[in-house]
Amino acid sequence: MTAESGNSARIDGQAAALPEAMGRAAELLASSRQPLVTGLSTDVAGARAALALAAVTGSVIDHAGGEATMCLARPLQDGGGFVVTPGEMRARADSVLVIGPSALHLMPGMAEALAAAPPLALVAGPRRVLQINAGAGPLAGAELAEFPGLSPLALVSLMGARARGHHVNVAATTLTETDRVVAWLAAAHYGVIIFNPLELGAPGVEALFRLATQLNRATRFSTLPLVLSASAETFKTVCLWTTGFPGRVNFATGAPAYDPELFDPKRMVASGEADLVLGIDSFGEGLGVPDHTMAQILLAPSLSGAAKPPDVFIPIGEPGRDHAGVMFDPAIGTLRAMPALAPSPRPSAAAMLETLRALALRKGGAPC
Amino acid sequence: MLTRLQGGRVIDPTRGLDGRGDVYFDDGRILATPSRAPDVTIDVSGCIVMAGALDIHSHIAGANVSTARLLLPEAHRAHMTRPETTWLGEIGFSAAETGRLYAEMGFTFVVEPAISPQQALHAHLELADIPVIDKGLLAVLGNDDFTLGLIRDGAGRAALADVVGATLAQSRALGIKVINAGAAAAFKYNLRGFSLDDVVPHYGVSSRAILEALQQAVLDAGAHHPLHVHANNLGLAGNVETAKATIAAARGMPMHLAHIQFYAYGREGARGFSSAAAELAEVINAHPHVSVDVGQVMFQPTVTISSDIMRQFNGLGEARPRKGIIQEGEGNGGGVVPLVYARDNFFNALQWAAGLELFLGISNPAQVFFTTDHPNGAPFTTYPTLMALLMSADLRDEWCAGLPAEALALTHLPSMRREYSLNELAIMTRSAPATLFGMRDRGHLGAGARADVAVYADQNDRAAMFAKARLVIKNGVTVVRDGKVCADYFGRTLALAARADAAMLRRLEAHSQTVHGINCAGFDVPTFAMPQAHAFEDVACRS
Ligand SMILES: [Zn+2]
Repeated sequence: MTAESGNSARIDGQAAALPEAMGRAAELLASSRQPLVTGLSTDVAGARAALALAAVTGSVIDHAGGEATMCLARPLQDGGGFVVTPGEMRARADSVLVIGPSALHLMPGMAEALAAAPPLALVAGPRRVLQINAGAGPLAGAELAEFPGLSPLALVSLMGARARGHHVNVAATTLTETDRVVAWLAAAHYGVIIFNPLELGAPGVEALFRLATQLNRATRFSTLPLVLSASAETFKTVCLWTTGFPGRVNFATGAPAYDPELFDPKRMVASGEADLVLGIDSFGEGLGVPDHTMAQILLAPSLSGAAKPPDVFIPIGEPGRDHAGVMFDPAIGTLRAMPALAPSPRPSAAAMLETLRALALRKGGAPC
Repeated sequence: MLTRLQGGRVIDPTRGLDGRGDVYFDDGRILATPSRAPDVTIDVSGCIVMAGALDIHSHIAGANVSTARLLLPEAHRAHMTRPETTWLGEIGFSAAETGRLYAEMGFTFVVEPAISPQQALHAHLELADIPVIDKGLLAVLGNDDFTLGLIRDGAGRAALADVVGATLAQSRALGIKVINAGAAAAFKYNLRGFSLDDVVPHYGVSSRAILEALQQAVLDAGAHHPLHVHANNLGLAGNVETAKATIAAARGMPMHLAHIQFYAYGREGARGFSSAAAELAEVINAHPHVSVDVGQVMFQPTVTISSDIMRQFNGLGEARPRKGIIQEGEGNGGGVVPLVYARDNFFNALQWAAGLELFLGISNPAQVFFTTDHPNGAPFTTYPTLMALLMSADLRDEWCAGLPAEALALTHLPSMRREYSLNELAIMTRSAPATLFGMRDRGHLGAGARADVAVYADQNDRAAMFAKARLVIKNGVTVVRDGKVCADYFGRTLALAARADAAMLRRLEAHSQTVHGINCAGFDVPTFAMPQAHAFEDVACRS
């Protein structure tokens, strides 16, 4: 396949004019009993347009990285929690606990930032950094603590229990090491715990927020969850103001309905409850669903990398390169505007999704 | 198309009008009686005609509001198999529903009052998705390292005015709010309480010093709206002293005090908690340069969304359901704590009564603004009921009959017989808020005003009347008919055309890089980022 043909619209693998491909996609949407809109590796405009399309087609919608979003959202929904922006962590945190090997490697510039002293700390001096279960990813200059054989959930729960002064029944070496970490935490003036929500899982994150609650009784603590996908955080943000929910929404009954288990894209595909996948993948993050034989519409910059050729392929540009856009920026902890670095005529995901929505409305594609 | 609204009772306090008459508009503007025949005449006899209403303080957008949505999925109607009506379900709690519900009550302009400059882009994108109404926002300063550092270093009046100007410009804000000045910073140094003369550790700057510096800086930067102040000690017994001290700290210059109901408490009674609203109302009457909004409590579950992070942290124990999110950031951050205001709860009944005492005790309706501090005291959808309560002493008596006598005994409400007239309500929700934000073409129906008009069917049930406007015109377009939005219309976001001093922008950038490791150009709100080509409307500074 030449680069050129990889960039043209396709129907059943054959190059097609864009209007025909859009028409075919609209037909597939109209004939689907339960469309699923996923991938959603796109910008704010793409997420808005995808939600609007999902609303008129009665689709289930969630980001391919929705699992990490839910690992953080569900503990917050169950018990609340503490979070801080990266910028304020850099400025104030005199003590930073890093859980697991991945966090710092996945957060650009964070290792360097932690090595610097916090300029606004109550007591001037270097920042203390402690890393637990660093595995293959120890941070230069950090103190280390290892808890072999303990799951992240068990480890965080153990720390919480000891912070609350509870008796626990564990090996003496584990107890000693736990108490050392808890004492280290208690000595913080403003402490931050950096973690990967997927590594901890929702129960582990909930235990972590309980630990932060306990630590805040005597000193100050917050947490900084690692953002695994900027587009996932972008989608969550837009989905919250559009529907009131962070993702995993179904529009089949008209009003958006939220169910973090039922509307998991992986489950919708594996169980065959969806019969059409509409995927948006501007940044090559994948669609996050298992292999399937159902109909598929793909919006992406190129076809290469798609496991199964989609029934319809619509080429789109990349936000921040081909066209301007707005994305969540993990470095600042909020949305950031991005001008087009290499403007091109490639259409945005938003423009294509808006056209599909107009076609769906014309076909009377509203949910029954 | 020249349109005539014919035969209604036109209430327009700006022109001292209350009587039968016609209103003409064409091309989005109100006209004086024209010389030619109208193209369209709409019969509004039996109706009350006012300018579109303005809400100066309602938390409708931004990161903290989204955090509240995230926290409370169970309160939405559509969550799993919940009942048909839930408390968040009734207000929708999405951008689209916010605009629809405000418009249907006849509101055409709403100010989101608490946006961190760092999160302005998020807030503006959300505001842009709120249909029908025009919007604006206040940017929050006074707990950020840069501002506190300037005050500590005695940088002077001009430097502070430049920070305010740069913040207004970068955030595309209409004004500046300070929230428990210094307390969010102090909380990061583990202080758990903070009063007007307490000092922020590390900076050695008092809350009063922050307040005074920002009050002057907002005037110097040319904002129409004076510094919008969320004072210290919100919700605490005896905090009327804080409110009085804060009013005195205004030193005769303009200042707006937000949701003062939450500061109208004394220490009398067996529980050491009483209403000091009458006393506070007298102080406000004696200080005409100060304006206030009430933050009325109504009885129902709600969620508090506040950048007073110290207060929100201290309030976690009262959360119902038992959960809350404390989100810290470069300045204030935000805390989200759900609450239930219950009719049979002594404290809640007293708060409800204190709010009404303030409305009824403050003589000048142009000095007190109509808010529930949505959603902190109650969702904005309770406004029509609140309007009815202000207009009827009998209705208040009915409500009081169902409240704990112990609470009412610690207020003056039962003896207050004042009833608001429609004209006074129009002052409070139309002409006065327009003046407070320096908007000459809103809040009235005189020639040249924007054609934002609300028409209500005159009926004895004032709550029903204000809940569903018969007709709402926005910029000359009919957007609501018979209480339902009928047009796919988007208003704009008003932003002060403030001056951003280039040297100050460079200092802010250097500070952001050094202290937070962040390129602060990332906080810009460029026009290309907005979903509509004309998302913003510039407002000229005060000359
Ligand atoms: Zn407020």
